[in-house]
Amino acid sequence: MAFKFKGYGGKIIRVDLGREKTVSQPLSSDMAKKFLGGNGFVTKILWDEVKPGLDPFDPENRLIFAIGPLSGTGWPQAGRFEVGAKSPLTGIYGDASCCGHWASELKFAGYDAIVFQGRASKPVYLWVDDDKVELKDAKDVWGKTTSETEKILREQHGKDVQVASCGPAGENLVRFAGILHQRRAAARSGIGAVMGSKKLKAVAVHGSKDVALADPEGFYKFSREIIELYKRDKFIESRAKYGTPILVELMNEIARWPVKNFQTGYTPHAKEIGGERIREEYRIKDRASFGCWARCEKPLMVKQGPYRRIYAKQPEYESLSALGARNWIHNLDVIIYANELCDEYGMDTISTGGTISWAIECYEKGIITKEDTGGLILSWGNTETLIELINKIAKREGFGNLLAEGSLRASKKIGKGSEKYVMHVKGMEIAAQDGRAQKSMGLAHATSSRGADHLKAFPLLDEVVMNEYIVARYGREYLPEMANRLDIKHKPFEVKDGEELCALCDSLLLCKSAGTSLPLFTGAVYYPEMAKAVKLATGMNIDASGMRTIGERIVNLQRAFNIREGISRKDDTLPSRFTEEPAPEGPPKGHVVELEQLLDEYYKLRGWDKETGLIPRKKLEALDLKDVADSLEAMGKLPR
Amino acid sequence: MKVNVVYLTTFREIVGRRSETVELPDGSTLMDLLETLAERSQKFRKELFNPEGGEIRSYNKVALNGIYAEYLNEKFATKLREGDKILIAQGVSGG
Ligand code: SF4
Repeated sequence: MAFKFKGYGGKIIRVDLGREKTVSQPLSSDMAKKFLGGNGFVTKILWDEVKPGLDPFDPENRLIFAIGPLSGTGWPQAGRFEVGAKSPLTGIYGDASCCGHWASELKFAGYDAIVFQGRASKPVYLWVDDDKVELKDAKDVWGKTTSETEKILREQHGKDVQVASCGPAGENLVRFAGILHQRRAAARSGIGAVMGSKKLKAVAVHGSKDVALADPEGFYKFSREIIELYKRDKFIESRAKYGTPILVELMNEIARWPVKNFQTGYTPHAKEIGGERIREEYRIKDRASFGCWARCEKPLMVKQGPYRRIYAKQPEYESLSALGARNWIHNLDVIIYANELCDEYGMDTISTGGTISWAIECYEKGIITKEDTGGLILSWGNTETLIELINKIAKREGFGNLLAEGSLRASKKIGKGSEKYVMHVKGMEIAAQDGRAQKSMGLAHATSSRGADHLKAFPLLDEVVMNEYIVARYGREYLPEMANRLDIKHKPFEVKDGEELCALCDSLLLCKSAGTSLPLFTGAVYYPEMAKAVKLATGMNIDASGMRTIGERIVNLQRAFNIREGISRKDDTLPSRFTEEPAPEGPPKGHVVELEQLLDEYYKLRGWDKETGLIPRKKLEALDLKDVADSLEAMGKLPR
Repeated sequence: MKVNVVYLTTFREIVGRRSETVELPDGSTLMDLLETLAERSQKFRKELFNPEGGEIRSYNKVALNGIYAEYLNEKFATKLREGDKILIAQGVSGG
């Protein structure tokens, strides 16, 4: 049946790589109404099409690129695209998103998603030029780095073409490989390795169609109002000036900054790699994605020394942590180079740095030895070893071949108690938030659908005491405890609510990147505004509570996918370093994450079974997911 | 008494340095320190305080030894001690 809403491209591309077939199908109106786009589509398609127990590298895994109804419309901060698959790092639901110009280009070509299945017999890339969709031989780009790939494909197809590609790490099935576009990364969950396993090197897109809106005049008037709000926002102003590295010194001051594999949360060296120093000494200019007012990307120049570079990407806060302080490295030139290497190889910096810091700690404790590393001496602050290990991981050489499996799998091979030092949840390395210093983040990491992750709930209201925003969104009765990052009261509510809001943002592809998402938290852009924007763009009549329900539906369907893979309460956990070892210094000194208490309350609020973390039929049916309840029941995976 | 002040973001640009040691009379409070700093620069004052009422703007954050002022028992009336570390930042969160 033809697709009936405006705003969307109205079509999805299906690609069977094994059979070398591509077809364009109408987008389902029902799926759009229930899941909106982006990670909603990813979740629904993975649930429907990926059988439980499937090896993520099996050709039958799906790799889904999806955008949303606001993509390409100029709505502020709606420039991201989502990529999802069953993750080879965690074995559960996996996704990641990336900003830039790829999403708008796909919309201009007239599509909302591309779904890949099968495995090509030789390396290929997909070329989408409006209605022309072709698989092409990738012999010129296979083995090339991500920026080389983009350059070559743009030379071949034109400079307006937008390219998303996996690098050598994805080709080599590094389990935390990502997908890159314009030096930005859809980094997490190992989706780049799924791309590599399918022998799909890149997706190059060119589009020239207009985006038809339901009420163009109303839509542009409303988006101008919102842009004015964003322009006045102080958080966006500082994000526009410094990007995410501005967080380094602040998070260090509250001792939430991971140092030496989370042994502590504070270092006197943070100022050497913070946003202010980068701006003063390295920055060239600002860059942004389509429709973005925060321009958080900052090309840099390393002026001299062995790591001299004319035009390098500014490492994000997360990368400064993972490649820097987590490995006791405070040499910015080296971190910038290491970050570039990860981008060129196409590897998630968080998992790369996290896995290396696990190995260093194990070496320090005598668990890993020179026999394991092939003679490499691992030590904190060793810049040469960091660079060597990144090269070895991407190429799967020597000890790098073990680390390319991710820290959890690597620890299972090493044994000898090394598992204790893996800072992960469900196999995913934890990002730069020590949960002992912010309890909401501890819980968010434990419950996130893709394994350890801060962005699925993105609980910011307690990060730096957001009293005003808490009152605007929830009311005065949540103060003072909700704003106190060391108090567990109201944190399960903050995380649950954040997960639904973030799922909605990811289905509309709104950027949550730090400060830019803060207006969402002031109540200035919240469910009613998102409902209004979607209505003006598409003509779909979903009110604010309907929007919230979509967020909740997506969260529950991701959980159902994970339950089907065997996940339950026992997996919603944290490393013992967070639950048993008190934070050693700074404001959180003496604190652990009181995870069990937080989880009890979280499941209650979610309407999930407290003992098992499974979802009752009643909850699924209330979210219009009866078919999901039926299949979980058939597997014996509903609570008794 | 001497305390250490660390500036982030806009405040670092206004003051022109990352940190400094500030000398205050014994018994001074956190607000006394902020007033002393604001006395030196109109721009600093304008960025830090609401024009009406003299309160700190909500997007500015002041922490004493890593604890935000809102969570100190005496809030901005908290008495400072020799060697305290005070952080002043604007509009930073989210990561
Ligand atoms: S704020 Fe940064 S990450 Fe977000 S869309 Fe803009 S440039 Fe991209």
